Amino acid sequence: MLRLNPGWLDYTLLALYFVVVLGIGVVARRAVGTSADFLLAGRSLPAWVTGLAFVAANLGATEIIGMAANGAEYGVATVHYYWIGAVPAMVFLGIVMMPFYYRSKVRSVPEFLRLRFGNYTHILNAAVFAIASVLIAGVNLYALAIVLNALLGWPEFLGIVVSAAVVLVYIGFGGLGSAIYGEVLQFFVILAGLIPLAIVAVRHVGGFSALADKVTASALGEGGLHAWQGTGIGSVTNPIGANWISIVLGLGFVLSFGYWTTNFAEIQRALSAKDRSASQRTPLIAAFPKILIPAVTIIPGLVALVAIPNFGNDASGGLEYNDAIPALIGQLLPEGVLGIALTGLFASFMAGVAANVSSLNTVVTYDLLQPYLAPGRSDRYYLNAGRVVTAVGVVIAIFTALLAADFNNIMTYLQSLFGIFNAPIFATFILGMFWKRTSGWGGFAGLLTGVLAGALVFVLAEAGVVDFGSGIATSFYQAGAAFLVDVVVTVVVSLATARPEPERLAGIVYGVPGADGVVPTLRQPKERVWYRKPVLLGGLALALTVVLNIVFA
Amino acid sequence: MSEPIQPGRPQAQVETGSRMQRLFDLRYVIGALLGVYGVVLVIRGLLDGPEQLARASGISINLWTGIGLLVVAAIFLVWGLTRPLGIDVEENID
Repeated sequence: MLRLNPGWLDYTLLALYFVVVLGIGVVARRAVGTSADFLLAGRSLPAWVTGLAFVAANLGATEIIGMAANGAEYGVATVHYYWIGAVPAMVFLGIVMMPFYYRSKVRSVPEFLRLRFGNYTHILNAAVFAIASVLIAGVNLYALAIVLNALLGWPEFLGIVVSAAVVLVYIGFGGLGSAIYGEVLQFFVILAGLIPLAIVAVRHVGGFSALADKVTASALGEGGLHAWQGTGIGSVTNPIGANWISIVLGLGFVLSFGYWTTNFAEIQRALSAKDRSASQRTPLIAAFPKILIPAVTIIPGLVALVAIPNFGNDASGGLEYNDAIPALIGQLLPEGVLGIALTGLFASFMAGVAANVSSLNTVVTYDLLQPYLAPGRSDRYYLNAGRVVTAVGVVIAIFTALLAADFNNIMTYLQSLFGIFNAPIFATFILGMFWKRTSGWGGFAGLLTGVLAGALVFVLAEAGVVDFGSGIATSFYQAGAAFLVDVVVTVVVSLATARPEPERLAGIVYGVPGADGVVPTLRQPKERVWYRKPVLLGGLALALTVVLNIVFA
Repeated sequence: MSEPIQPGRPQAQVETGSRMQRLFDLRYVIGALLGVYGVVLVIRGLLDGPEQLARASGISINLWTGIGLLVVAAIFLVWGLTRPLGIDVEENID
């Protein structure tokens, strides 16, 4: 039922995309002369490019397919992953944190920890990030192979190797620059596939009001149409299965701020912007598409739920929630648009892998090789190292993907575990950026114990010792525990250890002047035109989010 | 914890207006790819018969998607032509 039947035209459209992306990689190779060109894209891109790449790096196919699946399983409340779980954190990153990152001239997120807290925190964070990136790249490759297998009948191994080879060619040649250009292209192609799909899907069930009636009559019920109704404390009836406090604090604050403000695969896009103002606008520009994307993921999910018989009951032979978008593509799109949608899916899978690989090579080269393993070499050495790491990373990702094929559950656990690392790190960054007294040992102890606390909650929940009601609620509590422990331990240990040396703070902590005499504050860049003012852009994004939350409450 | 600080390489070494950007303007790439997709879909859409229409619940989806793609492609091409690289308005920082 899932198998698509693409015609020659669809394959031509797909092939054309591959040619263009590989072409970008080959041409971009001529732009790469130094390791900074390769790993940082020369820090010269305009804000609209880095902004779209910022949102696209997160618009991997696992995200698209997964959010459509959530739409079918939880209904409209899935918007919390976007409007509560992303937009506020993106605005905060753009207005509050990006100035600190950009001014510190760090080349990666772990490098900021090195400047501020010293080597132990740095190595801990860089090593965990490198391992997580390569494993997640593998998981993405495997997910791609499954879809290729289901839709086109390609053997999984072939799918894994072909897509890995394409990623290797365009990142290996052009580095971050071609990864970012590829992401921007992918952004347009995936929308060119998903928007028609959503339109046809709504028409298929007879329009919006018919869709609403059918959802109310489905397993989701009335709650499936509301984001906030039924999330009262003690009386949770909304299908999302969490009350509003754990949604706002757990998802909205701890989980999402940890991810969006410290995940290097995202921050790297903003760091490659041409100036401070453009780097600040990167996540703010990204926020606008992010606000609207649920329309093309949740709607297909809901349509699949009501239009495909027995949907979501894989135990009794029905399709899984994850099949929502592939199944609708196969059922509703004719030759032509079908090819675009297929290309969009491929493109977003590869962009996800490319984002992981292009941040991996930077962290390994600049955060592990240059300071510790092979210091003091020529730039040529680090450029070549970046290329070698790219190749090795892709090969490891292939093996991870093959491993994932055999041990699917292990990979799920691993991903949850890496989620644990994201939650406490936001606390470490905020304390480091705004509290002068935070010491190197305080940062290290806080991060380590925060991770352990999150892991402990995860293990206790898995073992059934504690029960939070649903998997989503568990991850909220787990992130909350990690965050709180990090804050408390960082503060206590910092107060108990020596004040950090002034040069550790210069230019990177709020109110402490740097060597150039510039005092880091939250003063925003002066821009003449309104669409370049960060605070205005951020305010608009938040206002739009509030309005949409009220409309869909 | 007492290692000397080695901040990232000063950005002065990175020349303004990257080589990447001077090599090719991404706006033309987007415009060209979406433009070709748009033309192909419009032609396919004009040839669509009842079978394709029925599949997409009666919407001439190829035609409309093609038109949409052509509009977006045109926006990027016009933007690229009217505001070529290199005369970007200077921005003030700090």
